Amino acid sequence: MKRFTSCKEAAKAVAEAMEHDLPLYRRFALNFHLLVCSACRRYRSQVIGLNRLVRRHVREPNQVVVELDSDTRQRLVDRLRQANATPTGGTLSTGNDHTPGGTPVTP
Amino acid sequence: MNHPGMDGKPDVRSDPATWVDAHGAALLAYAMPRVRDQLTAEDLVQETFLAALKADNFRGDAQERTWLISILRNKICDHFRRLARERAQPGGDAVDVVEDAQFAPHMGSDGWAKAPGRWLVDDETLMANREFWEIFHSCLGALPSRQAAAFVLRMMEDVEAERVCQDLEITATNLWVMLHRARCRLRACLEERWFTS
Repeated sequence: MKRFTSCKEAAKAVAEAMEHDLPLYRRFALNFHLLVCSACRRYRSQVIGLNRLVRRHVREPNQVVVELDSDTRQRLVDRLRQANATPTGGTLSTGNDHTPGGTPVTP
Repeated sequence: MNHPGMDGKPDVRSDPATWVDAHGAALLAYAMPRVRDQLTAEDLVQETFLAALKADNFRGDAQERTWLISILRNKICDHFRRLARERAQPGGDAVDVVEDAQFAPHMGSDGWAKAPGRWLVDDETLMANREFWEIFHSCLGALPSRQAAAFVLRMMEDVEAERVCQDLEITATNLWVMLHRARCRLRACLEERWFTS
């Protein structure tokens, strides 16, 4: 049986319909395809579900436990201290921490 | 080493450890679901702190979390724009082998090579399952970089479609085709690595 739309085209149309309304004829073709094709119905509900999950995932960051372990914390602190030690923020310290910005303070 | 606040700035500026303790975990928690790996996330968090420092009104209180997140958000978008530009391949977006492999000619029409399987898990279970999200991120990391950029900017960062098109220098049609391919690959990857194993 040859359907109006192939499954490949239907899957693509599912994506297009997420971005903007399909023209009437194509919406009809997609809906007809979905009516007769359980594989594409399943595909559609899976990608819609995926969109929904991803949206929640990025809005509920607490779901993913990101702990600032002591290594990570130390790494961030060290890098920031180093960057902060160069007053103009122009160049990162080349490892010589004792002369920040080339203005040695002579008492 | 010390950086005394000679100009009367609050002394929180003198020690980045204070910023890291106040906001580090929250910023990292924001960045991690969006970028591919821990080190990239840390880079972006660091850039965020440095930009905040330059902006000159860093006080270290809780209200500025929102402000820091908005800086971080820009850094994340910049990161994906850069990535998408660097790896842009002329004509490289014309076909997608993984998308094509999902379908096979069947009675004169492109049908599924292997029909999508049943996913018998509800949203709540998946949301709370750490292993699922690790696999998701691994699948996201396996996407071609322009697809990943399109997916993160549009679907995760919720950037407007027109803006994403400008950033990736593509047309509106290219964008949804790219998103379609990204979803195709993510779905297939998740099905193989999570739902059927």
